[in-house]
Amino acid sequence: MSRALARSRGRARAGQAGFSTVGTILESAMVMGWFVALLLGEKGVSNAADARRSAESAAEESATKSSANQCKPQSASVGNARTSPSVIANGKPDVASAIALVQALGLGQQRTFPNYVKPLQNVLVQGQAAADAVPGDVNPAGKTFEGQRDLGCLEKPIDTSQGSMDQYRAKLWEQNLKGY
Amino acid sequence: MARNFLRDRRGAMALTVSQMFIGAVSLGIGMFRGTEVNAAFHHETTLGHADYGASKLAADHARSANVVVNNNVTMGAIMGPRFGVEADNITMDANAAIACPTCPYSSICKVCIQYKANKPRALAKLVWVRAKQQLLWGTLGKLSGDIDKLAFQQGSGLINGDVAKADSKVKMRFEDPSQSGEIWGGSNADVACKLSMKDTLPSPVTGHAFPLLISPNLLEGLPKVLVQAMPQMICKATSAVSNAGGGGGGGGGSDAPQLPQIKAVSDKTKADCKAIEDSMRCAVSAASGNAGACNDGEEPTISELPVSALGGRVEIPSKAQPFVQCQAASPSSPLRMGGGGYSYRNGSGAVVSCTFDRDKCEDKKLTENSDSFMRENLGLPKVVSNLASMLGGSETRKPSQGTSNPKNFCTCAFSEKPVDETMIGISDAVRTIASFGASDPSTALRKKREYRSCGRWYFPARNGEFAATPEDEQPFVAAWKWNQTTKCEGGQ
Repeated sequence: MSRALARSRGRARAGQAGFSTVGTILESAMVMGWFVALLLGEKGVSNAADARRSAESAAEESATKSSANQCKPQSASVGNARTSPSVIANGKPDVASAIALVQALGLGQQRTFPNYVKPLQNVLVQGQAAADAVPGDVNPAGKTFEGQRDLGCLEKPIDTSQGSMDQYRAKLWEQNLKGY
Repeated sequence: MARNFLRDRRGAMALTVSQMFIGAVSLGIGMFRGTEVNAAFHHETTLGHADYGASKLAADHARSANVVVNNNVTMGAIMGPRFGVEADNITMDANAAIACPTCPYSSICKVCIQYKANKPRALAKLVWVRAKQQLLWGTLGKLSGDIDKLAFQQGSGLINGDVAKADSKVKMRFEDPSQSGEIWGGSNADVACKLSMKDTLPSPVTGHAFPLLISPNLLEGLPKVLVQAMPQMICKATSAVSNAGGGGGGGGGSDAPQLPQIKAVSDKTKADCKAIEDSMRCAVSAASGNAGACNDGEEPTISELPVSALGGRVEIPSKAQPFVQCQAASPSSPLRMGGGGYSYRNGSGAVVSCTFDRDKCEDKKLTENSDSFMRENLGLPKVVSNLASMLGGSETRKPSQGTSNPKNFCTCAFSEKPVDETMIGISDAVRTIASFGASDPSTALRKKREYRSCGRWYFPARNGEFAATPEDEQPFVAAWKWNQTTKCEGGQ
């Protein structure tokens, strides 16, 4: 009895302050709704940033590893990012005059000769990651974020610590000067 | 009733306004955060373009360094056969100088006949190898000087194209050492020739003409000695023969070749040393007061010696000084009289004995006269005044700053891209709202930022399989690598 009375008095007080029961519920729901929307939006931005971060980091890691491995494509796994490294021939040393002259002397099979003719190589990595789903209108799921990295490649030394003069000299001699 | 309705409306209005405010703030926070994330990725990707530029340029320069090595090695590789053919031709000429005067009666006259028959072939080979060596040294040496400039031009063009394809708003610029001068200098021919000699000496190239063209070789071993001496003779390499072993019939173990078998050379050597000894004897005679009586070859005895008319001083001619040893007699150091000594009394009356080292003189003069004979009579190149010109217009190359890791073997790429105007606008609007209009537009986002990345190329000298390669031989070993770095030494 007394509890029902107290409730009735509370309603009366709320009514005097300008709040109706239905209005209070609706307004509270809307305020809460804003916070929910805010949280979901924040989550959406966060997921998108994470996906982009994964794509960038994976591309960076894959490019660095591939470059250090003499341009052998190396994948990287960061979050749910996928990488697709590709090796690209990117220019050749501008040594046509030397090659013509040296090959005219019969040279070309020596260990270090490829330094003249081998293409210069880059590794180009595309990192891709899709953001996780978030309920609501700002759901970034399905959107793909990309990161791209390009690096010149290290080359494995192709000489020995003593050099290769003997190889060049022997061929030169055999081809051009041996005998009378 | 009417009062309650009004109160309801006011309360709802208050809530709606506060909701809108909260909504605006939350929306603003979201957008501001979005601009921050965007700016962070903007900086990262812009730096990524600089990384690409630096890595590509450094990799291209490292390859260029290995191309320079290939050039150096090829230039050295043809120098060895030139040494061999030069040595064979000189040895053939020297054989002829010995054998031909004995014709037609001596047994060695056949050497002269062989020489006359085969010299044209040997000479043709010599002409060919000289021409090819000079052509190679001229062409490859010049290429070594230009290759880094070419690599930079090609590399920077490709980088600009690639970056423009990825993002046309990015601007790139470069600081490359090849723009400000040659990073590979010359003055390296001595090492090239030393390596050529070391490579050629044990090979079939050395002495190849014998017995193919002449048999027997009257100067057995001379080709080897000559090949050993070639770096000094042709490349003006003072240090080149420091490790060369002796040997050979013509050499007698010294570094420079000697030709005692050739009569003209040995006669001149003996005459030269006699003249030097005579000049010393005259000086001693003058000191003894007997000027003019010095060419009879007689040794004055101590009892005849007066106190020096020149105040006890003997003026030994400078050309004789290396071969003369004088000793003043004293109670603690009695006179050691050997053969060939000349004596006088010094100012204090003590007997001074001077000896002339004829063996030493003849050894030195034989080397000089052999060299002179080879240059004047056998066609060895005369004194080199312009080494690069004489070798074909250029030389093998080494880093102009020396060492395995020169400071100027470093290149930098810079990238720049303005932050998107929409992002700046959003950021400014949010800041203005959040500060109730007190905030100024963002200067941080508008600031022009340039990102730098650098790459260095070097010879891996400190450890690993190339650690034992001597520093002066590094420009002949194709192992130059590169790595990325944040700045070159001396950079900002």
